[in-house]
Amino acid sequence: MTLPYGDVGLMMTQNDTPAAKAAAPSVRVVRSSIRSDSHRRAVRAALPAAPLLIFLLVFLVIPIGSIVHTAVSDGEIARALPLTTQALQAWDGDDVPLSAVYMTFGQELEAAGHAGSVRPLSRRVGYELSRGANIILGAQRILSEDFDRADPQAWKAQLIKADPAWGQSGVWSIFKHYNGRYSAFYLRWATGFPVKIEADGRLSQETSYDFRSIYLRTILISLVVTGLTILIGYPVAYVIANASGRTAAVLLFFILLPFWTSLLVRTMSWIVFLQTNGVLNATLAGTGLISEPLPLLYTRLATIIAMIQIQLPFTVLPMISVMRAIPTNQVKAARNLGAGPLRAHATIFLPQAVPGIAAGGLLTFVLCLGFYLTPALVGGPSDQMVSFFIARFTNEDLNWGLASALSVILILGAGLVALPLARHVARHSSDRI
Amino acid sequence: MNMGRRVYTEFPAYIRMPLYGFVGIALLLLMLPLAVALPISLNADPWFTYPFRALSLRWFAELFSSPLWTGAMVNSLVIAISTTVVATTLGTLAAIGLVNPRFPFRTAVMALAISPMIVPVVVLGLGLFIFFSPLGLNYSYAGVVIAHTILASPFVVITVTATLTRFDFNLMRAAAGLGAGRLTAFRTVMLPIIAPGVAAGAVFAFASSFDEVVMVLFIAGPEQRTLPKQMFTGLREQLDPTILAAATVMIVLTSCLMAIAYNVNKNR
Repeated sequence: MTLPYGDVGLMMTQNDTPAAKAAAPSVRVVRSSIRSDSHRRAVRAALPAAPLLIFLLVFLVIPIGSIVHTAVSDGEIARALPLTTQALQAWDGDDVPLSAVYMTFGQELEAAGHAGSVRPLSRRVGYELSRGANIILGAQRILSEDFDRADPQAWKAQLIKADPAWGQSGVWSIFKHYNGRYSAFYLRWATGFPVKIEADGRLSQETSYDFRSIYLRTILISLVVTGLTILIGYPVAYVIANASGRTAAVLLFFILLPFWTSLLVRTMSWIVFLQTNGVLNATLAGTGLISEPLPLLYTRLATIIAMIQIQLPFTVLPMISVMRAIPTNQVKAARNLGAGPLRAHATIFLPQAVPGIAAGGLLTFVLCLGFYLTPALVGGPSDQMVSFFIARFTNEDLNWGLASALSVILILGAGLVALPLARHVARHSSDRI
Repeated sequence: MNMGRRVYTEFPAYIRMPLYGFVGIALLLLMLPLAVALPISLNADPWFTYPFRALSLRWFAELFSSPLWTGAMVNSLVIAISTTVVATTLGTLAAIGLVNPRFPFRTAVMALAISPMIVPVVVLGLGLFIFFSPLGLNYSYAGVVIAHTILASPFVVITVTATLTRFDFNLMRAAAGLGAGRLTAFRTVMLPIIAPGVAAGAVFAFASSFDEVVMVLFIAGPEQRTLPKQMFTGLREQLDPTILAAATVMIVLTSCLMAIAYNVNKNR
């Protein structure tokens, strides 16, 4: 009875005897009970992890989903002015719409005023139309005046009296375009396309955030930090990987120290160290090397140095674990065959350390892309990265749509870089766990 | 023999010495700001330079007497302890599930469990802020604890998983054979053995919450002002030696906890 169950099934199909036919259902029962047993085991194995999984599903996956949803949600206009946007679909976009549309709009704006949805509408229009918020609020104000409410022409005249923009195509083309609940407006804005128009429909010359240069800056700072942590981290990892137990432990302690000292405290220490009346400037002035304090804080240099200190452990640790696995015999053999110490290192050791360098470097790069605290505290205005603007649009400008669109782009970018990393971790985690 | 081995595996002295020098200087420079900044909390004058004219504990006295700072410290402790309890429970259970080879989609689930370490905190903060706003969890203690638990749970999962790889699961079978139920076996056999790993995970969870500021900026209201939030505000506005005293207290507290966790793990 040591046959694997698969063979029992195979015998079944070959021996088509009545007895075997009679036995068939019971074999099927055995099989299905084996399958359901393995299902039950899998469920039982997964059970302890269920609370955390449910927790992460609710408070991590759904919130990230709601970021994506917010980035494409754009219903303020259609919600406040459903009939106007509908009526405008017949408008060809030239000149201005019919007077009847003015009347529909005016009535809907008054209704929106009672429902309290003018503020989101005016803010939304303001994102896309220069002076847009004032144009909407001005219209709302003037409609409370006395005029002939039965005559569409009177509505039109009243609105144009409030702002000449109502006699131009810009604001109407915006109403026409956003007749649904979703749009790519925030994503277009966040990817650096010009979105703001003037009342006459031309693109606005108003300068706004240059998101493309912000992404470029984010990538550049992350690349520089990654490159420098690899350059500094490689010799450090080499020495630690080759050191004897006690020395290695002490060096590791120094590398790990940043791991468990507060990120905020470390960033603070750079401020104390680098600021105008800080330790470094005072020391340099004391030795007579400088007469004026150097502007060290709130610079890109300060940002990069502080980020290197924070990221070094993340780069070094994967390098050490890979380097420790490299057999020393091979370097020895290369030396015996006449290679110089540097050549033996470069041709034998270094290529085998590449997986560690790649893993550490990728991890550092991905983490750098999302940095917020350190640039916000030790960097200047021109050193702020994507995360800073996400926080700013969320907490100060209350523009969640734009903040979400920036987040979507940041996650997509980081995800693309992290994918090979995830595959690497997946491949190696099975050996470790 | 030994000499010969060293000659062929290690760099000669003319490479080794500069290498050691570089590594030593690099590590020293990275530690320097911290080593220099924290003692300034003992300077009697409100200056950020050396040498001091006198030593004093006045900034610590201010820290522990100002209601702004003491309130922040109490908030931080309450939030960090709650986070530790929730994250350690969820993380330990998840680790027990994840070490089981029968776990379905184990790699994907492990990636999800660790993802809060990789996803930018600002993005997590924004997502929770949007998600919480219809639920009324913004500007609440519960909201901050949930946010911190997300960030803290990967530390527990990683630490406990590492401990469990050395755990002999035959012990659980033996306990079951002796008639213990799954819960009894967990409580009386597994938990005491993996306790040091769980403790280490708890310390990491505590430290990560106690230090966290970005989530607090998004989720917390003035009621939930924590110690790092108070320091952050101070750092952006006016650097004040009380912040250095707060930083010193923070470092000392987390270092003590780390040292305890390290020793518990070493003795096993």
